[in-house]
This record gives sequence, C-alpha cells and structure tokens, in this order.
Amino acid sequence: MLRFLQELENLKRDLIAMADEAIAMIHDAVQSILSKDVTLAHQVLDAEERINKREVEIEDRAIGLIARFQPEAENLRTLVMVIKINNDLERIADHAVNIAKRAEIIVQEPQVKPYVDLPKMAQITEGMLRDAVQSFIQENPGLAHGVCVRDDLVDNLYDAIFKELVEIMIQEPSTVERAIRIIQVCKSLERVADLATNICEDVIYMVEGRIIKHGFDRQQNP
Amino acid sequence: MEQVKVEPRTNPSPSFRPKFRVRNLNFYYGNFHALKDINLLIPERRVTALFGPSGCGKTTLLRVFNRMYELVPGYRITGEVFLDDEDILRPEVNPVELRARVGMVFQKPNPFPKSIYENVAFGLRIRGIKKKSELDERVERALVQAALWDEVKDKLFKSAYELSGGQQQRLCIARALAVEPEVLLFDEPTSALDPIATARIEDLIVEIAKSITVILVTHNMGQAARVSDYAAFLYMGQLIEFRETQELFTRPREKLTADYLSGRFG
Repeated sequence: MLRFLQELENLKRDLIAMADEAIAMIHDAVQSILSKDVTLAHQVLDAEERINKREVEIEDRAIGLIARFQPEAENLRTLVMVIKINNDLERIADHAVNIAKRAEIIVQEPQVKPYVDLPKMAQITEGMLRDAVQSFIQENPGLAHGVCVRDDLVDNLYDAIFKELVEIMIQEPSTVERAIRIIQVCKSLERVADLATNICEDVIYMVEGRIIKHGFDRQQNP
Repeated sequence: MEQVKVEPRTNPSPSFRPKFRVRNLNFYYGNFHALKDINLLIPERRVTALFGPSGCGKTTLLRVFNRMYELVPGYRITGEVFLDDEDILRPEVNPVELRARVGMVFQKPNPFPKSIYENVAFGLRIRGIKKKSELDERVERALVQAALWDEVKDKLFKSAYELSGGQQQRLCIARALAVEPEVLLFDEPTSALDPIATARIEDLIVEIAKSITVILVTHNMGQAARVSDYAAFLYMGQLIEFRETQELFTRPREKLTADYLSGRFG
C-alpha cells in the first residue's frame, strides 16, 4: 500500500509538471501573436513532441497502477481522473500548437484590428487553467467550481470577437483570410477554456464522487 | 558483471545487474520433470516474483536458489545457477554457507521456542558472535529493519510464541535479516496471515529490497503485481514470460500469460 501511495504521488507530481508545460505553451503561443515574436511560436512547436511523450508515459503508468494495485474508491477515482486530465492536457497542448502555427503567419501580416479582447480572453483562459491545476493539487472542489463558472466569460468574449471580425470582413473583404486566422486562434482558446472546465469537473468527481458534467449532479452514494 | 537491458516500451526500463543467472536449469523429482530448461536473470536489489498455478514449479525454482531441494530425496538437477560469479550447484559449494548468503522465509511463521531476542540472535551466535553489545546492536537493527522493534522492544525476553501470526512472521524476517544475507527468498510468506498483517509484510518486502535482493513465490497474483519489480510466470515447469511487473501485468506478450492473468485458466 505504501508503494502504491508513493507511486500515485509521483504520478500526480508528473501530471502537474505536464500541466505547467501545457499552460506555458498556451501562454507562449498567444504571446507570440501579441508581441509579434515568432521565436515563441517555434518554442511551442518544439515542445509538442515532449508533451506527447509525457502523455503516453503518464497514461502507461496510471494503467499499470490500476492493473497492479486494483485501487478502490478515492484512489480509483483519482487514477481514472489522472488519465482523463492527462488526455485533456495533451489536447490543450494541441491547441497551443494550432495557435502557434497560425502565429507564424499572423506575425508577418498587418493586424486586422488592435488586439483588445484577444489578450483578455487569453488571460481569463490561462487563469482558468492555472486554477484548474491548483484545484487538482489542493483537491479543492470549491476552486474547481469557480473555474467552471468563468467559462461563460470566455464564451462571451469569443462571440464578441467573432461578431466584430465578421463585421470587418463584410466591410473590407481583403481582411477575410487574416480575420479567419484570428477567429481560429480565438476558437482554440475557447476550446482550451472548455478543457479547463473538464479538468475541474474531473477534480470535483475525484474529490467528492459527484458527477456535475452535462448538467448531471448526482451523488454516487447518497 | 554484464548489464542486462530489459525490453523498453514507453518507459525507459532501467538496466539491472543480475544477482542470479540461471542457465539451462532442469530439475527432476524421480521421473517427474519439474523444471524445464529455465533461463532467467534475477535482478539485484529488486523484488522478483515467481507466480503461476499450483504445480508450475515456482517453489521448486525458489528452493534452487539456496539448494533447499537437497532436503528432498530422489532429486536430480542439471544446468548452472550463478550467484554473482559462482555456480552454486557445484558440489564444492557449502550449502550452509550458501544459506547464510541466501536466507529464506517460509509460508507459516516458524519461530523457535525461544525468546524474541534469542530467535534473532540465533544465527549470529552460530556464526560465533558472542559479545553482548554486538549481539544487542545487531538484534535491534534486524528488528528495526523488520518493522517490529517498536512492538517488541519492551518484551524482548518473552517467548516468541506470545506474538501474533503477523508479528511472528516479521520476527522470522528479522531472524533472516540478522545474519545480513545478500538475498532473501520468500515462500508464500503471507498465506497464513490476515489482510492487515499481509499488507505490513508486503510493505516490508518492498522496503527490504532497497538493500537486499528478494525473490518471492506467491500463488496470489495480486501480491505479485503489488510487491514485485519484475515478475516471472511459470506454467508446467516452464518459464513462460519474465519482464518488468508493470509490463507483464498490462501487456503480457505470451498468450498463456494473458490467459492466466485474465482468469481463463488456473
């Protein structure tokens, strides 16, 4: 049992390290656009392989722990959530890569408009991600719940940016390609915020055994 | 000493130094061919579990490592079993000295009808240690290592039979550790114990393997999975598969292993 708990702690520690790397990738990818610094985008692209390896390794270890120790209750929930969060983090890193690929082009072309809502959206999304990871570290369902609520802010910003850019494209068709690239970046950020929400739903399940996603809110053992 | 690389998958597998190297080992009880052409490397300072259904040869193999099979009449053995660089099957090797290097803990706790202290001091006295301060120090060290010291330090001179089954088994482990073996063989060490005592012994085995090579025979697949670093699956006297425990229990390569782990036979 001591060995299981030690290996579970090591696994959680490595998952947190992977989360830090995924958050840094999102930050660098967006910052690459905002500061017109293509080297940041390249760093993100370079990190992809590393994070993919981490994902495979963490999943393998988690499955191994389930096979070897056949955990129950909270330990089982934790391991299954580690596998899900691990997968979400890899998806987040994929979105960072998508943003970085757009950034390579965006930094070389004239801006469609000044960036006002994009940095706000990025800031809120990064904050959600950081709090999602903290809620996992602290096993804090309250913090996790707060992240889920903030998802609406990101959705609203995305809708606002989308409408504004559509207006610009209608008025000035030569901006269409550039504007669509920005919309794609924002869509990736919006998806990252959704994934941060997923992580928080998983943390709530891990700690309390309560399923809150898709509007479900039922106690496993009332 | 050669370094052996275990097949890596996604995890970089650590290379290990073999403590035992078994080559072309065959063992017979009369006409019964109990072990068939076993080739195996036992990693140093790790827990290696031997598991498989009843009659697969796991206990016979365990008893090869300190030549305990010699106590059974009518056996025949061929092949080589190197402990470090010495083939322990050679007749010149003194089995008593071998068993000091390769200790054993049995299925049922078997303390001597003596005090707790004398049980642990027994092997030391046989090896000529007489000085009380040295005996005291080594008895305490072994009992600490066996995670028993705190429970018995105030009753060292009471009979070992006053201890619970789990404590008696830890006392037997302390007795084996006192003579500072290089290898400890465990023959189903928890089959006579309740789940809590079993968990303590399992934690203890993991701890012991930080400094001593451990070979564990268990009929309990879960125990092999929880405790060992490497696992060997035996079936009808043959070594079917040997690899890192995590690999073996998640991605067995042999169909027989997969079938056994999935409960399709055995």
